[in-house]
Amino acid sequence: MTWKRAVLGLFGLAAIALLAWAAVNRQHLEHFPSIISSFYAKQMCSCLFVVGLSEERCHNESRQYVPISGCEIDWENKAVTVRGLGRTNRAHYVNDRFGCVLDELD
Amino acid sequence: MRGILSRWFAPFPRRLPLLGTFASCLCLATIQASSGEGDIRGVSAHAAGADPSGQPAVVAGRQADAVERASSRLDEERGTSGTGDQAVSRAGSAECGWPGSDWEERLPEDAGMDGDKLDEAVSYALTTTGTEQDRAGIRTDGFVIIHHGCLVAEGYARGFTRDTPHLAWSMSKSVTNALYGIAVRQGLVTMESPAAKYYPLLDGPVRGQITLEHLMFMSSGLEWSEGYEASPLKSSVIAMLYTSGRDDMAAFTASRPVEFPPGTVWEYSSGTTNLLMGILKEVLGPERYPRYPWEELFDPLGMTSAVFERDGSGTFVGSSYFYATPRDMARFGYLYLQEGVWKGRRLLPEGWVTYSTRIAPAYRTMDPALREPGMHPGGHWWLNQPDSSSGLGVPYSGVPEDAFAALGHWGQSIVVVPSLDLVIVRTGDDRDGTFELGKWLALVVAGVRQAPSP
Repeated sequence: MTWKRAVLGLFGLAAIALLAWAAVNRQHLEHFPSIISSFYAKQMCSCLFVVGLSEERCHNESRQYVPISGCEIDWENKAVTVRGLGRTNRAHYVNDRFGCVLDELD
Repeated sequence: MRGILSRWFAPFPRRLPLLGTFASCLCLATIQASSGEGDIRGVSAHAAGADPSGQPAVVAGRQADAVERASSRLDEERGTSGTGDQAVSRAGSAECGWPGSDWEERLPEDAGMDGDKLDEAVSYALTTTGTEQDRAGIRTDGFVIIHHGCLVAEGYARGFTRDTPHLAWSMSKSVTNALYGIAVRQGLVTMESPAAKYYPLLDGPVRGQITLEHLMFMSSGLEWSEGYEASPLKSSVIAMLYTSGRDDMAAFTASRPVEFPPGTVWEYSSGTTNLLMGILKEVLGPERYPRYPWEELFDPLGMTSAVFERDGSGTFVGSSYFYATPRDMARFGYLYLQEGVWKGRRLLPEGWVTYSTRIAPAYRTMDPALREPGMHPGGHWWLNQPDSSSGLGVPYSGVPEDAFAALGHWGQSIVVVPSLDLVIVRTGDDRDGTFELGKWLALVVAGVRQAPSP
């Protein structure tokens, strides 16, 4: 069954190539999923606590094509925690000069 | 993954045909457009001096009617009477000069502009299409026009008011340019110095040759990928702002591999701006640095709305995260219009504005195929000036060649036109490139050029 071997071989080569690519781009791939929740959290925090728009409006400004799975606004501490693509990231308001900043990367 | 976040800092997004549905507009001292669920429906006008936060002085059903009524109100406040046209003809000095606690307001005609022409510009800017959910079409949040130091037109939409600070995105880079100007005036740095002199992370045989000037003119040679769509996984700017670089954006940038010999190739890089801000932190020290933008720039200019966000290490995100109201952004533009002098006090050193508004040397000499459309890059400013010797034409033919601009993602602009004594600020949330900066500017400029000299 030569053709089967050929197909398996091709799959094998493709898998090796994919793994090699993933290894080369390991760092990029590792951080990539955090983009969605980080961006949303930072935009949302600044929109609410620096610019001062409504919650509904800020959601509309912050959303991306990849949806998030959760957003929690801590009004008391002026912080926004967002979950998306399996990662959770938080941004918090510092003060009226320095606005918002992202916490440590998930 | 193309388009997840769209391209970040491109000052000139791709263009689509204008889909505008005319909303309404006025060329008065203040225009307040209220955004409904979909587009701008109601437009109200304040005469100069009316309470900006209170109820509108006039709810405009028809533009001309509102202009007349608002003009009449202005007459009453000035102790004059008659129609709007008569009030215009009795206008005093057209020169308002530097603003005090706020801008002095004038009807456009009083400051030597053609109000009808300006109406066209304003209606273009305040045109909106689609719904909030679509985030499509022209989505102006605010604009301010300053002529001869007078605020001649202003408008807000989509829930923004004259008191709402707006994210400047990459216009923040021009603020970084100003902070460096101040540091140069104070003798803290020299632009010709190797950056490694102030920032040891840049030590090395090649990167050690990178000067502050290379960074200011975005030709450090450090590898950078500003676009998101071209390579979402490897976008340097996204990684810097949101993932691996966010704790220390300057160090993130300084650690990039060297791609070109310093000073040879211009490449738009938000990283270099944050590297400049990181260097300034080393120069000023932890005590002075956090106060510096306010003490040296925002406070002297009276920019009370200024917000400057920082990264995880406390470095100002000079590439992207400055906020101010359009009126305060206009103050910043006016500083450059006045060549760095504010109320007789020199903030930017003599020649700094000229230095910063020349075409980046590496841009002039680099492969034309690698250049970008739109205005030409200067030192953290964008320029309308041509350079025939390097094959660079005038980007916006309807705008004077001496115009220069701070430009930011999603439609932000502060445009300075020294030859017309004009500053034009526009904030927005353009997601699809419908709004054409060149068209908007040409319309405003037409309102200046067709008016008789004041």
